[in-house]
Amino acid sequence: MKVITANRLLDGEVVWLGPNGNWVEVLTRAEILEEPSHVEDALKTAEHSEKAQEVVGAYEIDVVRDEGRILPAKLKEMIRAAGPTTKPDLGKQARAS
Amino acid sequence: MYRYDEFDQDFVEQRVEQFKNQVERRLKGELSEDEFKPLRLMNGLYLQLHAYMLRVAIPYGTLNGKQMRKLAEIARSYDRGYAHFTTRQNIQFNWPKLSDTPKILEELASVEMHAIQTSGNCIRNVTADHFAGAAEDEYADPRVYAEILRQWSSLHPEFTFLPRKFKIAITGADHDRAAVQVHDIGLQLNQNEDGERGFRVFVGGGLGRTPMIGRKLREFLPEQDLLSYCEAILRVYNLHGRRDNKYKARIKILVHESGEDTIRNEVEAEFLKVKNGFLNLPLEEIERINAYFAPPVFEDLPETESAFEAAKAESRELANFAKRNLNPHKAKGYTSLTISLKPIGGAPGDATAEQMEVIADLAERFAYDEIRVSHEQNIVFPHVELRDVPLIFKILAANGLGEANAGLISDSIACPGLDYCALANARSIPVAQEISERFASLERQHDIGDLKLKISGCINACGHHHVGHIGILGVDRKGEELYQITIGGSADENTSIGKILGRGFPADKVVDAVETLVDTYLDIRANKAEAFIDTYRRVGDAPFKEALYGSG
Amino acid sequence: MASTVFKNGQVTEEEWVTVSPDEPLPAGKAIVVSFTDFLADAKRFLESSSKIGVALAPADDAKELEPYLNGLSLVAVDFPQFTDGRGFSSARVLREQLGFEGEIRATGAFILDQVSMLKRCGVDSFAPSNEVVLRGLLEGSGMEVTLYSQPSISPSEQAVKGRPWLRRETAA
Repeated sequence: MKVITANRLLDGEVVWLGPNGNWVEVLTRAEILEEPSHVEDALKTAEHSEKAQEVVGAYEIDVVRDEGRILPAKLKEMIRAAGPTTKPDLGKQARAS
Repeated sequence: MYRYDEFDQDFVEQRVEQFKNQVERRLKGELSEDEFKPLRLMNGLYLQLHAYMLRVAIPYGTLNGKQMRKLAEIARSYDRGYAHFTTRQNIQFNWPKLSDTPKILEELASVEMHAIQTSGNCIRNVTADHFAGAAEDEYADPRVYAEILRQWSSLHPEFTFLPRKFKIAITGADHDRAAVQVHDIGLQLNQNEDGERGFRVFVGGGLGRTPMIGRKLREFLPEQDLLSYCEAILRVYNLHGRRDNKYKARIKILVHESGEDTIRNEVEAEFLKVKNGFLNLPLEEIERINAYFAPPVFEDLPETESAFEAAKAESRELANFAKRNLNPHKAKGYTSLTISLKPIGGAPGDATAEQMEVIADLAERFAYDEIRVSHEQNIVFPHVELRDVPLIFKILAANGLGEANAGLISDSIACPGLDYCALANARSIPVAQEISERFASLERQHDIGDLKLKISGCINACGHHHVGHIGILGVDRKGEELYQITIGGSADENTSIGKILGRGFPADKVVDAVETLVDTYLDIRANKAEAFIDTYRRVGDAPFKEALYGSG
Repeated sequence: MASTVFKNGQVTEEEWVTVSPDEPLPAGKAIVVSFTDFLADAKRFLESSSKIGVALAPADDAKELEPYLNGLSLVAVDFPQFTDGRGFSSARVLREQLGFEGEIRATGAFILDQVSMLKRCGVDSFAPSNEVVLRGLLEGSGMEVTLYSQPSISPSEQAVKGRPWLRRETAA
């Protein structure tokens, strides 16, 4: 299972590719890609977004399902999805709930 | 300190305009990210995990209250109310928007600041001893030469697309407080037999994945040859430094692969061609720049201040602070005061906008409006009257800035690590926080004495772990954070690279391991005056290794 | 080489033709040969009635051209990637140390923001591979900084009073 992630050009915000080729600010709204061919297509969409000055540095990441929730497989992507572990008042984690 | 004249001001403002234009071209799509990246980096703008990061230059770590207040204002208006002071005496904002950065640079230019060359493959901000101009042991104020180097290297037409970044550090005394031997060029002020001023020149030091100690190319370089010699080194490096592998592109690899003698010959041959050309430093220019760094007029004060002595006798906290956070000053009755940015459990080097404003106010009231950022990620007031120390300490302590731990184990250096940095493999800040909590007792820390703990979250070594008395390197092992411990590193005039003791420790064991090393030292030190590094140098790594891993 | 060149503030048609060493040399033209080819048979090229230019790749040592510089009208310093800054040093060595007075041309993938630096290193014509750079050169964009904090040999700069190394662009 994969999703596509990038940073938004204008403000650097971490974003993931959503179902309609739009970029979303929370991982739970990202499009989950099960097939390699879907990943390839999504990366092409992402490349268009890069050329259209929407996002920077798009790449695929592994995600896992944990009690029904989608979580990044790697610590680095966990931190990107939440915010600095040392500053719970900052980043996406501060906006959640 | 250095003050801009009309030229410097226009120069910085033009640079802001240029960057504004570059950002506009990027947003319009006239510049691709690949093309924009080196341009934004040359202005200190990175893209990290959560957002952009803007690194602002604090040339040789010197600033005044007005500038500090502006940095606080930027933290509040364009960022999240705090900022991070770095090991290269700069400051980083972690959350700016790309579209706001031209405005931030305009704000900076209004107080004679900029972000030029705080990143990219160019000559970076020149760093210097944080006690410059105040220390009793210095030959001359190294900032004078750092400023000359800053001007020469700013937007240098030839040396802005080097194989890799290039860092110069300069120290004013035999005791090296600027870690010059682990820089691309390290300069140490000295004197020849005729009493003329010059520099000991080291080349090819560096940390990162291949730590190297700089080779001494010259025991004495006359001061008027400073720029010519640096230009010769940079030209040899620009033409011959490796460009096929980013990890082998620093000048240390060129020096290592070519050999010290070959590099010396090449540099000296190039120097002969450059020497006495237009880079020859005229004495008048040195004098002109020197005038900016003239120390304040010090009062004729008694050596010891009875009110201060009495206050220390009354307050254990003040006595502890005085013991650790004051450095001898060349003028009687004065001191250089270190403000620790390492509160127990805090993120090393971070300061809130409010704390930055407190520091600005204190500097203006008590410290001749001079502030320094140290490469150990603390703040220094270089010139303070001893009699003002009790009140300064009281105000610092009330604002979370009174930690009496300068040079102690909780005064650690740590890079931002995986909490912010796109290059990191492991987190650094939480390790620093846990260690400082474990050693929170000031009594215990004072008993342990001088101990430099340095933590990096990846092999790039921004946390200088190679030169920590105890160094910690975070790595990624199959998705888990693992911490390797090195011991015996040092970044002063006796520079040494720390040795890896053995296998790494998981995050929940690394603090115990550090404590084991410290306890081992306490057991085997010859006496209380023998510091950790001296004990290590006396006994070697065997007892420490055994304590950590057993004798098997 | 690119078909258009920016020189003296305007775009001109390329006069230089690239030849390979096995071909007979055209007479009365302007010929560019690679550094390696030139050094392999310098005499033959210099005896030709054509003007001779040498194309310098980043790793080529400009100093090896020293004995032949009087016979050369052009050295084209190539930038296969804009991040490879060796050409900046090569240009300076040619101008400042070897006293080359012919044309120094930057060719290849350099970007607009490098143009003023190239000029300060002695480059006087530009043949960028990217159209956007050529357009920018014509429009004069990317030239916001006209103050320099170190001297150079660029003829269009003057010293700043009271500051021995500083320079101000006069032609901008």
